[in-house]
Amino acid sequence: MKDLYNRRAIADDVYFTSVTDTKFKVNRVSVIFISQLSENASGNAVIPRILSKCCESFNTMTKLNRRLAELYSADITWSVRADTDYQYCDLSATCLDSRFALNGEDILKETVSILIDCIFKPYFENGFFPAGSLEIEKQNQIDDNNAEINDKTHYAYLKAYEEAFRGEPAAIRWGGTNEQVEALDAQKALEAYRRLIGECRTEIICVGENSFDGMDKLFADAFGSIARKPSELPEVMLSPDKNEVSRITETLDVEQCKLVMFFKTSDRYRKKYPLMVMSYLYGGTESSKLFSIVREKMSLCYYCFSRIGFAKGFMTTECGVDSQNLGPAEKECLNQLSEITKGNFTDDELNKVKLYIGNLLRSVGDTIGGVGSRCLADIMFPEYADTTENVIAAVNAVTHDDVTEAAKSLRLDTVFILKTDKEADAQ
Amino acid sequence: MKKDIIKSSRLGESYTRIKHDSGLTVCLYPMKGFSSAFAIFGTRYGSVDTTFKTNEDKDFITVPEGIAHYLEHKLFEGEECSAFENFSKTGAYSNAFTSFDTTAYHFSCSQHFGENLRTLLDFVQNPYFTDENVQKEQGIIAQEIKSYLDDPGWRVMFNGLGAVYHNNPVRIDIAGTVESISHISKELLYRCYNTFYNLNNMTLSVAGNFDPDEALKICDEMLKPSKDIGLQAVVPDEPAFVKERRVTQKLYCALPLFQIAFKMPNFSGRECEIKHFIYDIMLESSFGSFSPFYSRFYESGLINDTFSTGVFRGRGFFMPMISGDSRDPDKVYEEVVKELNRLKNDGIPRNDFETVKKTTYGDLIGLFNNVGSVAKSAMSADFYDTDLYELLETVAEITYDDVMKALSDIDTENSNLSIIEPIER
Repeated sequence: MKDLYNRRAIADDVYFTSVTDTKFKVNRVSVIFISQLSENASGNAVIPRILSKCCESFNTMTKLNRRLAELYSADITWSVRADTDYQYCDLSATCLDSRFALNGEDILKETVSILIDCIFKPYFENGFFPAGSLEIEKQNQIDDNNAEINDKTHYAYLKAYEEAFRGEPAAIRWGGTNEQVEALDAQKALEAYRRLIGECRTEIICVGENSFDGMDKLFADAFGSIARKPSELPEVMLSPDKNEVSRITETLDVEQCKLVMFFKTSDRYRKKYPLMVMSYLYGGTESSKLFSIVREKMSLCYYCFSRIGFAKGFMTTECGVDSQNLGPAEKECLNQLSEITKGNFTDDELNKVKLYIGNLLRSVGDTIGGVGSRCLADIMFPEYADTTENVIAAVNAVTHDDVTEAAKSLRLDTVFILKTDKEADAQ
Repeated sequence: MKKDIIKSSRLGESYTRIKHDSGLTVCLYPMKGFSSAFAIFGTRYGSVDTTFKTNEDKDFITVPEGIAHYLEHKLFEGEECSAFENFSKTGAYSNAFTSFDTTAYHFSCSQHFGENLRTLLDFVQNPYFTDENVQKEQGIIAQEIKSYLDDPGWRVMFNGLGAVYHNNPVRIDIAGTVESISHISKELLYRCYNTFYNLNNMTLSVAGNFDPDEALKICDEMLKPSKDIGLQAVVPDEPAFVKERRVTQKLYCALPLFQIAFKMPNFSGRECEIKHFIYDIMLESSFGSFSPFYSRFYESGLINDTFSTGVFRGRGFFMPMISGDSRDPDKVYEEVVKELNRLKNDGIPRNDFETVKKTTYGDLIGLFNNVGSVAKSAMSADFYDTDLYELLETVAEITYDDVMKALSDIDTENSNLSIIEPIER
C-alpha cells in the first residue's frame, strides 16, 4: 500500500490509523475485528452486541447509556457485516468534537475510554457474561438473521449471493446460522469473546476533527494487557466456475417479483477499473442502459440496477418487476450486457460514466463514514490503494476496448427469482 | 432583493438567506473543506395537497391522490432530453423526493457546479407533459406502489395513519393508489404545477463547496419572476379522535412490527418545530435508551434495538410516535400507556430532562457535518418559517414545564396501535 495513511502496528496484528480533517464536527473511533467467515460467525456476531451494552465501570445498560447521553449524545455502536470471504465486527465510538462541549468536557477522551472499557473490561458475573444478557442478544441475533425477509430486494440479493458462492466462506451469512447462535452457552460465548479480541486481525481507524494524539498508546496498552495469538487471515478466494447456470425460483405471497442475475469474472483484480466503469455504464446511473432503456424506455421494471464486488469478482443485475415482465426483463437485461460486449456504446456515454465515478470518488471524503470505509478498503486491498486523484486518473484511462473486454469476462453464474403466487391472477 | 446574513456564535458559522426578486427564497451555505456541493430546489407541495385554489379560481378543486409524486416523476422529462441526461453530462448525481408536504429536486457534484445549478433551475421551471408521456408513467408508478405493499416497515406506518385519520389525505400512500393515479392527466398535472411550483411557494438551498456569488448570478439569470397567486391548500376537517384504535395486517417479516401513534391537534410554522423538539425531548426522557422503561423491557426481551420514538409532523399533522419490532406489540402498547400515565403523575426526573436536552444539542450540531443534511435542513427550516441556528437556540430555551405540559396534553385513549404480523412460512 502506498503511504496514504499513517498506519502503524501497535500490537501483534493490531494496527492504528488516524485521519484528521478539521471540517468535521464529530469524531469516530472504530475498532474492527476481521476474520475469515467460518462456523465462528455467530459467536463473533453476538459478542459485539453484548460488549456495546455495558462494561465493568458502567455495569448496566442504563448507566452506560446515561453517561453517553451526558456526553452530548455520544454513541458506542456495534456493527457486523460479511464482505467477500471476511467478517468485519466493528465496535465504534462516535461523539461531538470537544470544542462544542458546553461545560469544558473532553468528550472524545472519555468516550474512547468507555469504548476501551467495553471491549477489554466487559461486565462479567462469576467470570462469564451475565446469562440474561447472553440470552437476550442471542435471541436478537436470531431475530436479525430471520429479518432478512423484511426487505425483499435485499433478500433476493442474499439468496443469489449464497447460491453463487455456495461452498465458499463468502456464502456464510454475517450472523452465521440460528443453530450456531442457539448453541452458544456461557463457556462458548467467553471463548468467542477471547477469540475475537485475541485472534482476529484488528484495525483501529480514527476519523474526525481531532488529532487523536496519544490514542494509539491507549489502545496499545489495552491490547498489551491481553495475550494475542493472531490467526492468519487468508486471501479472498477466487470463486470457481459452475458447469451450468444455477436457477432458483422461490414463490411467496408478494405483490412484486424480484430478479437477480449474478455474473462472475475470474480475472478479478486486473480488471477492477474497467469492471467498475462497465458496471456503471450498464446499470449504475440514471443514464445507464438498465435505467434508461429497460426501465424508462421499455417500462419493464420499477427498479433495475447493477453492482459489482471487485474483490470477489462479480457483478449483479437486480430488478423489481411485474410477474408478466419477468421473462422480457431478464432477456433485455442480458441483451443490454451483450450490446456492451459488442462495443455498442458511445464515447460520450463512456465519458459521462467516468465523470459520474469521479464525482462519487471526490465526495467520499465529505463524510466521516466515507473516509473510514475508504481507509479500511485501502488497507484490506492495498493493490488499489491510491490518492483520489490517482484513482480518478485510472478510471479516466479506461478505454472503450477495456470496457468491452470487462463485459466479455463476465459469465452468468446464478439467477434467483422471487416470484409472486399471484401470478395466475396477474396473467 | 432582501439579503440576511444568519450567524451562529455557537458554531462560528453563517449563511445567507435571500428573498429573491423572483419570489424565491434562496439559502446559501458555503462550507469550508468540503469537496462537493449539494443543491435542493423544493416546493411546499406534497401528497396532502389534494384540495386547493388560487386567486384566479372560483372554487376549490380536488385532484387524485398521488398527483404530487406523479408530477415529480414527470418533471424530469424535458422536451428534448431528460434532466437526468443533462446532469449526466457533468457527472452529477441527481434525484428527487415527494413527502406528505414537500416535493424537492436535488443534485450533488464536486465539479461543474454552475452548469448543474442551471440544469436544476431550468428543468424545475419548465415542465413538459404530453398525453403520451403521462400515460407511460402509470406502469412505472403502479410498480412502485406495489413494491411498497410488500414492505412491512412502510405498511405498518400507512396502516396506522389510515386508522388514525378519517379525512386527512396524510392517511393515503404518498404515491397514491393504482386506481387513483389512473385518473391523472396532462391537464391536471399542469394545473398542479402552475399552482404549487410558483416561486413564492419555493426555496432553493445550497450547501458545501460552491461560490455564493456565482450561485446568485445564475439565480438572477434563470429565475422567472412569479406573482403571488394567493394559494390556498386546505386539509379537510378532521375529527379529534382516532378512526380505529388497533389495526393489523399479515406480511412476510421476522417479528411483528408495531407503531403506536397519539393523535393531536396540528401546529403550523415555527410553532410546529418548537413543539417537535419539546415532544422529542419528552419521548426520549420517557422511553429513551437510558430510561427505566427501555432497560426493563429490553432486558425482558419485549423490545429490542429497533425500538424508537419520534414526532411525525408536517403541514396539517402532528403525532408523537413509538415504533419497533416485538413479539408482543399489545403488551408494548399497554406498558407505554402505563408509563405515560405514571410519568404524568410522578413527573419526568429533572436530571433526565436536562440530559436529553444535551443529547438533542449534540444531535443538532451533528447535522452540520454533511453538505446534504445542511442544505435539506436549511430548506426545511425555511418551510417552517425559521432558520437553522434558531433551532439550536430553541432547544436551549425549552423548559421542564414545557415538556411536562406536552406530556399532560397526550391523551393515551386517543391513540392507535398498528401491527404487522408475520406470515408463517
